[in-house]
Amino acid sequence: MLGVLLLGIVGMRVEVLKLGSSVGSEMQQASLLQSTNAELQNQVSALSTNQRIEQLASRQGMVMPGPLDVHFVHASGAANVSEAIADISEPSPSAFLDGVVSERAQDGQTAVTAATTSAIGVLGGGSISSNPTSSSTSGSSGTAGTSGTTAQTTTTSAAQSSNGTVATQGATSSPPGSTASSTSDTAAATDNVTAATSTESNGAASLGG
Amino acid sequence: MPTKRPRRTVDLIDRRVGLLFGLFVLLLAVAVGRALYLGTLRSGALRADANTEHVDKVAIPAVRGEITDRDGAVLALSESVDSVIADPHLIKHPERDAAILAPLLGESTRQTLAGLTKKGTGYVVLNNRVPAATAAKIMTKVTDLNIDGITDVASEHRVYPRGTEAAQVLGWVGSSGGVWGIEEQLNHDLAGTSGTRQIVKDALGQAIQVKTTKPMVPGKTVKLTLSAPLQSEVEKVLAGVGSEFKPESATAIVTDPQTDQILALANWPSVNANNVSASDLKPVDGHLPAAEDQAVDFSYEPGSTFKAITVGGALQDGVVTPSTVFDIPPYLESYGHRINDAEPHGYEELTVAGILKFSSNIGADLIGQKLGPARFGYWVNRFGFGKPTGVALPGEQRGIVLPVDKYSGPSMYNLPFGQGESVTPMQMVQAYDAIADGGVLRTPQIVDSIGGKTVSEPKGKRIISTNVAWELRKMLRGVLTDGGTASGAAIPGYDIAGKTGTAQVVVDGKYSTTDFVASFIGMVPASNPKLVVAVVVNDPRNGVIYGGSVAAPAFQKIVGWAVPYFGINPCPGVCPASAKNPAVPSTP
Repeated sequence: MLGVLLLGIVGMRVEVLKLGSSVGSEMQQASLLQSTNAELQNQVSALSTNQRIEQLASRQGMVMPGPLDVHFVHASGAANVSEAIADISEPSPSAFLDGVVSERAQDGQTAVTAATTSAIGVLGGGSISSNPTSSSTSGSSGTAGTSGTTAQTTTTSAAQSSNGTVATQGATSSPPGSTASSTSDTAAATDNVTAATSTESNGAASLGG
Repeated sequence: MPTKRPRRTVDLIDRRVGLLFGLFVLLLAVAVGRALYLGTLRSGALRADANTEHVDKVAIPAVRGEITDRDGAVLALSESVDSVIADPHLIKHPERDAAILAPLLGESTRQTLAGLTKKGTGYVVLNNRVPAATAAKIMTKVTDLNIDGITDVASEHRVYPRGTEAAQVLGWVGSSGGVWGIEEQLNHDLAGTSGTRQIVKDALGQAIQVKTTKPMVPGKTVKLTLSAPLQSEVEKVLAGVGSEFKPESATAIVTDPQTDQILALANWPSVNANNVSASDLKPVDGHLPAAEDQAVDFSYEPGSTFKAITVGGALQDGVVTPSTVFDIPPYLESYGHRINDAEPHGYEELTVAGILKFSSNIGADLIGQKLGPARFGYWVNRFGFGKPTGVALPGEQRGIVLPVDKYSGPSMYNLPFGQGESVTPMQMVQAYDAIADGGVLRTPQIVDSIGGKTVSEPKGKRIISTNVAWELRKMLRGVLTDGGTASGAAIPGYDIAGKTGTAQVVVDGKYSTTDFVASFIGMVPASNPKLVVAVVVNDPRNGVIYGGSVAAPAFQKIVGWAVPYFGINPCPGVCPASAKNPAVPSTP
């Protein structure tokens, strides 16, 4: 009986020591992970700097929208709402798939156009091509949002080659809470593509490039 | 019948049993005595020996809190690092050990060998910034290969992942904690409290018990109101100003006037907080341009940007309206000095709006005289000059503002157009924030939260009426229209209001004709400002000195980037005529 008790005590003691040992190694592991986490956070922060993102984006032919590339259009209340309601239709899977296919085809064409434009730029220079395409959202967060009655439209992203060739690419986006209808957005976007293309030189002049 | 044992045999057995018993009792007594000796008389020494051999007391350095921007981008953080230390007295095979340790330490074998064989010392730091994971590998190797004399001590290393970005705002950490910027200002919150841990090891050195004797309390995370992308852009713009105009220093501040939160605060020249060199701490004219946060640490005479304060006070007191006409002479005589405008002119008439648009010193003086010294002094104080704004940045100057009873004869000829008083860029931003926010003056805010607890928004006090603030903004629009001193800074379609400033610097008690401070403070959209941007350039040196030519273009670039980025409508509602004018090069 005594022997069993002694064995039990010894066994428990061994388990406690094992547990202590595992706690120790777990704590070491935890601090190692914390350290690794800090290193990774450091890398994430360094990799997400504006300058680096801009450099990467510019290699893909993207630039930040200029001061004149973002336009706000007025939504005229009830008229736009009824227009938007009129535009609502039952979802059609086939139409959706057709849209995807055409969008892909358009993307491919855009890439070819961009490459061609670049080549033209290298050879000739000075020409301007305008090609409104798919929508994208301009990243915005922070202090000042848009008013509830306006829709924001990002229109032009211009890729300028070293010898002055400018390729413009239309893009539209509407912030959450926008009351403008999709039709008016599209119309506005079309207008703005034109407007942005025509006012671009002014903007560049006023900013000194 | 049992046979009887002989009596003699029994006695012998009993005697032997007794002898054995006695022996055992004796042994027991010896054991008890030994146990008592070890457990009482020697207990202290033995416990100390056991502690030395098997118990490690390890300090747990407090992890310093992170500093992030408003969206959580990390601007400063602490990494756990170890110092690997050698005791050359205990190193038996220095060549072999150096070859093993050097690659892990990231040092050359020669360098490590030099450390391991250093004479006359038992403490050589082989590397004090070894990542914790690498240090663990080193110590495993040391244990496996029975290398004596190598230990590691945990510590932490402050890292600024974005290098120069907001370096003067963040500050950096020295041996005694934060020494500049937010690191210094909020050192108490960021530092945390270090702890201790007791580790009991077995004969093989494996931890068998870990006990936290004093818990480590990590520092709190400080979230700033800065926007890292905007900060980066503003620094880029300032770097351009630096390379073009070669000034002594420059600073730019961007705020949201509706909350008075600082969205960007940049300084030039820049400094890399990860590696502050001696040249960064080299004083120039009693200042440390690279290290100091010029936004709060630089006092200057504001020049014409101050005219908005003079006009604001006069409007609020009702002594002028925007259309009040003043006869402007070619110059004013002031106790032997002539007060001129930047451009010579004959007798002319200017409205108050025109005085701001063309930045007439004489006109500002005439408004100041109409206001009178007492009321002028009152408005200077009311707009927050002469005292620190209270922004959570260390080293804030209060500026120099004369009390009214100390005004001399010429004072009211200088002060109304921004000469004779000394202000900081932050004070100017605070005043323009008030104009932008309908007349409410608030302390600019740079700390959003500490340890997840939101810092309460500073309370504002109304200094001028909403109507006067609006009238001022309407007049300040004119500065960017054709003929205004900053017409080149306009952006078509942007409703911008602002004011240029070109102030002479006092050198050896006289106003210099070569040293100037060029500045521009503006807001967008003027009808309901969402951004206030101030650019102050100290001593531009390539021959261009005017605020409209040096600082206003930087303002234009910052606004041109920030407005689309934040999705601000640059001209909500009906765009005024001033916003429709195409920009033309300014005439300083």
